Amino acid sequence: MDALQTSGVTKVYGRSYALKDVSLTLARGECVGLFGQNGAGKSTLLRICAALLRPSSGSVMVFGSDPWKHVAQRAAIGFLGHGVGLYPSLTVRENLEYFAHLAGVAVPADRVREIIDRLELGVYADAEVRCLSRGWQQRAAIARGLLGEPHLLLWDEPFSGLDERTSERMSEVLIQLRSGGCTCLVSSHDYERTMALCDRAVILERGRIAYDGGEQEGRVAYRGIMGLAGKRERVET
Amino acid sequence: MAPHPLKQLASLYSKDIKLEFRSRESLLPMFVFGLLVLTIFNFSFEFSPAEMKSAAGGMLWIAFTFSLTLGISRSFGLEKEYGSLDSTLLMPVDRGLIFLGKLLSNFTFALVQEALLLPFFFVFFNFSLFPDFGWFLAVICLGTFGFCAVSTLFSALTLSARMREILMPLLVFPVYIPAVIGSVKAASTIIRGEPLAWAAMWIKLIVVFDIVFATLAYILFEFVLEEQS
Repeated sequence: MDALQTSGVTKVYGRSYALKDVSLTLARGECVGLFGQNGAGKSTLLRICAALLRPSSGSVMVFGSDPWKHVAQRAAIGFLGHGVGLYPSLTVRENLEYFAHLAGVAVPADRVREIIDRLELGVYADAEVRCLSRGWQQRAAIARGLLGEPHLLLWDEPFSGLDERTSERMSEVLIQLRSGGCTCLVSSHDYERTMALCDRAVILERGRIAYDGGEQEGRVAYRGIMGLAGKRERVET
Repeated sequence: MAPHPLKQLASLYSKDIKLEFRSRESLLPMFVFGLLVLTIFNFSFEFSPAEMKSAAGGMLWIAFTFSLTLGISRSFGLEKEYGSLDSTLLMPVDRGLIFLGKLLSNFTFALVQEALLLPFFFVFFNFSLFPDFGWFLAVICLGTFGFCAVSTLFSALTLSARMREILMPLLVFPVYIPAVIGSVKAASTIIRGEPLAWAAMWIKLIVVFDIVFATLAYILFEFVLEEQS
């Protein structure tokens, strides 16, 4: 059984297509990088896979079941979007305990303590989220995403707006998750950094899959689609 | 382990209460606005005591509903602003429970605000306790519950609207008309000291409104949220 399978997923807003007939399969334990220009449909695809958005047509199966029909299946999905997705007036610990209760974690306090230790959040565990820097907020958001021990992680631009050190920390988290058998779909604009962690590249262009394959050919396709090929030539001459 | 719906509901509710009592972003503006409305009414009319008893019910409900709209319109807006609504939707929690949690927390804030306003109502309009004061409180609770059910749904419906604060009352008040008529009539009957049986029809109307609209809102909430994603 595949971890994620989208079949003919199309999303229409008014008259324009955000996604058109996207079929994608992620095997268990696979890590796939999702690329494309702004507006190519990366975030829409991730939100549809996370059951935050219903496709106009097509289907999404997570570990063989539809997360819209089987709400409990959502516990297997971890989604980290653009925003932090935490309550600014609550402390990191309060936020995590709240989401742990919703996720149905058996002993929320223990699980929260464990995840705080794992992500080295202890220093700021009792600080309100609004008082934290962007990097620490991002780390707290990761802690929220990992609370339910997801088997499928959907991560929208993990390196965007972060300094080098925090980006490296995000890479380490992804490596840890992969080694734990978690399937990952990571959207990014940083091809090199992302593909250092992934097995496969998928490139979206105007809502369609323009490339699905290995890293080397993917690099050429990526540069072509992003319009980077010409720029590189100019730099080299 | 499948999460227990009641535990999830308790978490959703207690999170809202904790957030509100930490930030006071809804309760304080609601109370101040309600107090201002009552103050203006107090100085605007030169009614005889009998006329005052007839008009007071209407004035009270204007103060309640207008100030509640102010607070409830923001209840989902803040969640959307923080991005935390998405985080909640990602959890294996029934959408209807999210509605119930928000409805219960909005109802709690409304009751707290009304409990703070009522002493001012009695002082401003020079009333002593009515013979059927318990029923008066029951009418307030029933009317407020219906209002919270309708406005919680519309708060979610207007999440992505640009002029959310303006749109909210325009959508909520037409739907709430039957209940507000019932609430004003029942409250005025009790304030005038008339037999409780005269208010019975209006109280039944509010009860029916509450049941119908709370159920409808619970069912429709999932579809409303989908449109906002």
